Amino acid sequence: MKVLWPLLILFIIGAAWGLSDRNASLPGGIQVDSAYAVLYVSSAFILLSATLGAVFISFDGISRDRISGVLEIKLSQPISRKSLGGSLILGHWAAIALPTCLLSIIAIVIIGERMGEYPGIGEAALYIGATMLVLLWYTLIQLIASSWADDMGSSIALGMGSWMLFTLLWLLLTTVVAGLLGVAVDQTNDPEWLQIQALLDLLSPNGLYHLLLEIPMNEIDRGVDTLVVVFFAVLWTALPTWLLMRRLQYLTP
Amino acid sequence: MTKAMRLYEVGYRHRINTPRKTNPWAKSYGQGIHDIDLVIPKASIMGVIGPNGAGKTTLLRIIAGLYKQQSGTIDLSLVERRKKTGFMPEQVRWEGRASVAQTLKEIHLMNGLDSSPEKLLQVVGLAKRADTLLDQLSQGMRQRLSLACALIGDPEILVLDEPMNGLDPLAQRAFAELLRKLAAKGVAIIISSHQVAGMIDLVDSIALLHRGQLLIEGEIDVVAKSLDVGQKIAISGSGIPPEGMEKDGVGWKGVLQGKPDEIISRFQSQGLEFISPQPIDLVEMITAATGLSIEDAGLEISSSDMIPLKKWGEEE
Repeated sequence: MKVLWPLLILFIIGAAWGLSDRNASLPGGIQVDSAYAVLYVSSAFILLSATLGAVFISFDGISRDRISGVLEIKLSQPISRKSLGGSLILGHWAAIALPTCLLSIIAIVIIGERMGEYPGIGEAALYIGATMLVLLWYTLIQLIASSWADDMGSSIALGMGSWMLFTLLWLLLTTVVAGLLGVAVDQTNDPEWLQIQALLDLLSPNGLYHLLLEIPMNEIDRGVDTLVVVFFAVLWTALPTWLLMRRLQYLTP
Repeated sequence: MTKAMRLYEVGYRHRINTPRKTNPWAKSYGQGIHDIDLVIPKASIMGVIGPNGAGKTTLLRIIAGLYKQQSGTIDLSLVERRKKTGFMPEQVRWEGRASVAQTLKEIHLMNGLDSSPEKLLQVVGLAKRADTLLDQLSQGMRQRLSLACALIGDPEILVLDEPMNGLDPLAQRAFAELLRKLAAKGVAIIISSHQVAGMIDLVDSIALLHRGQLLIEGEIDVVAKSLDVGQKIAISGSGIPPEGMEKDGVGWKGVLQGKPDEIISRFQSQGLEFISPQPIDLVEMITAATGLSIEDAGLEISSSDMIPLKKWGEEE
């Protein structure tokens, strides 16, 4: 956490401070004309910092204990595997979620003070709730990957690999799929391209996070129903939780 | 003899990676244990011995409830085994910024206990190290912490996998004393160790494993008799060879099997004298010098305490 705090402060507070400047002009013609729009754009910095924090905290959440032998002691205790799994998830998630939540609240205050306009309570709650969810998804992915890893190298590879896939490579994957489906990939305003991008975003925690944040934004319509977005958010929470619990049920040192 | 646990035709084979061109994630069954029939008696210390890969750790993990048997039956369920058993794995590298007391407290909570770990820390000789960070523990202290974890909740069965590793001779002796006391209180103790010679004095019975099969099990004397092995004494001397000895150059030599006292008295009756040099006992020296009992000394003195620490940057 000593490393993560400066990173989180720089990215979350820094983004809120910079983007809430009325005179700031963003590349690509991105308009940030409301407090919620600032929050929406600054969510990209959450994906670059807080999700990385979730990876750093959880990538060896199980494998470290396995390598050191502590897992043998923990698994031999009479605690139920469900309780063990619950405490693992809660502990790793809270370690990154609590600082991020605190800094997000500070960021909202900074945006409100600098712009003279606060996001609505519902908007702020959605922003913080979606941020907590994306951190939970990353924590779950990392813990599942960590339960597979037999050594520190594979822990790092699986942890960083999944983060890079969703954060850096997903657009490339989307482009490949769109290209294979015959959609013009150089027309980023093409409705077909936008829809394929949105549909594939449902399969990525980062994309789904943005789809959740777009719910109150009437000016953005990527052709995916809100109910579908909510359904996938529930699925992204329930499925990895179930998978992790199942892994823990049969986990051996 | 009351039993603490009964294993009947228990089998377990590990799943190992066997990648193929068509399926790089393919797994198949590898080594394990087969048809193990074993009764673990209460108030007794049982040694599980065997060469590397014999299946000792697998058997201990099944007893501790870490593995579920794939075949056969055990009279305690997986959950019951975890409740009744205290398990000390072969080697645990405790590390991190948590203290010894915090770590022990965490394992206490996993047992549904809210009691203080102070008493346990005292038992294993870590009372003065309660606030020491895990990163700063020596190998011997880590072993003691693992033992403390195994003792949480007063287990009926204590399963110890190579517990003597990393312990200095003092701690080993004190550890053996502690095990005897626990056995006297009714705890069933199963101990595996590659230091077989040292185990002879500690265990009441042995289970000999080889290639996943239990070859023989029982009290040491009974097992030794049934295997036709026992303590052997090599004797040599000069002059006329006594009865049963063979000539060796100008003198004689021979190997005898039996109880040492009987052999000695037999040869004494033939007019021979015995000199039995005993090595200096370091443990006795230290206990005599400090006035501490073996148990107290063994658990309170670690080898690192006896070596003055070199300050950072100081010349050797």
